[in-house]
Amino acid sequence: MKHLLIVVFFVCSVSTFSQNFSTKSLKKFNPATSISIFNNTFNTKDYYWGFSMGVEDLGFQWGARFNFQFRPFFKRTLVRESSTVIRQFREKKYFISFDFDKRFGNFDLGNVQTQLFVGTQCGVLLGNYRAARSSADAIFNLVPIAGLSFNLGDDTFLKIGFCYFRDKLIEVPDGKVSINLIFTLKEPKRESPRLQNKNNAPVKEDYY
Amino acid sequence: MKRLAAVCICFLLWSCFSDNDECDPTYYCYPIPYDLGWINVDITNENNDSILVILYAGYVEDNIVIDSLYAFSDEFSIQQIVGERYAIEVYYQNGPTTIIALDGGRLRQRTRENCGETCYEEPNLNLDMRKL
Repeated sequence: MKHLLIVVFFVCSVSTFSQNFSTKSLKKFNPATSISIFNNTFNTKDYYWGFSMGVEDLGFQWGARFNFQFRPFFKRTLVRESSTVIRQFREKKYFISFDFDKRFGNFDLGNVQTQLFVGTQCGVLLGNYRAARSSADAIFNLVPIAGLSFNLGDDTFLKIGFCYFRDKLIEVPDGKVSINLIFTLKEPKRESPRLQNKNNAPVKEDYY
Repeated sequence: MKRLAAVCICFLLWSCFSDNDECDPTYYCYPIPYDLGWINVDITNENNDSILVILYAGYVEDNIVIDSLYAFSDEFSIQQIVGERYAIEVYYQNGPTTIIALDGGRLRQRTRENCGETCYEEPNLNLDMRKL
């Protein structure tokens, strides 16, 4: 914990001293549609793949997305039924959530503009079992997540973080790694229409 | 963009009308559908203990028990009617804790075309029910 605080303080101080006045003055609400088709959450025991769509505010540097993730295979899982009985199922899982994250700080990491981010995934974890009509218990999940956001160009973010994703499975640890590649779709800048007369000749513009 | 769409449409048309009937004269073709198939189960049983196995028809909640047996090895096979759905429970005893493993599926008849003839493959349902 002490080491984590030192790292956070170091990164924040670097970003504080490296930001110049002009960057701060450029901040304004600048939303863009964001899409992710490569949203992975995993550890050594489990894997979820998913996609999401939402908004990325490029000005104030936050994002909000509707997310759908799932385990793309039937996995052997252990669920505790009582103090003496454990059930082993073949299980598929689905996670439907609303994701929110905020980027902050600004530093270079290997010539890549990098930021810290913190966020949360708020949603429901569903599942079904092979050879059984019953489904897995729905789990309301509030997943805290934090990590690094690599800004690849102006419109792509690779967010790599660590999250606490509860699934109530005995053999799967709740701590998981999250890798999410987010593309933002910025609208092209609109040019003002040029006035034309009947002969399609440009009209002289008046500046008073 | 138009060129890409044209390529995709051509590929779809080709996949619809292409002749997938391979012909291997050396392939042994079994032309009659199977009535019975095999459910092959892998379990954890290193010490060759007696492990309780229950076979259900349909889903486990239907509670239609076809057979219950004790397995003394780490793999066994059960012959059943093709086209039906089955569920299997394996009861592992681990000290005071019982681990009940559940798995199952439909015992499907698979076919392949060879030299214009429909060939039937022996139906198998392979279940990995080893203890985690």
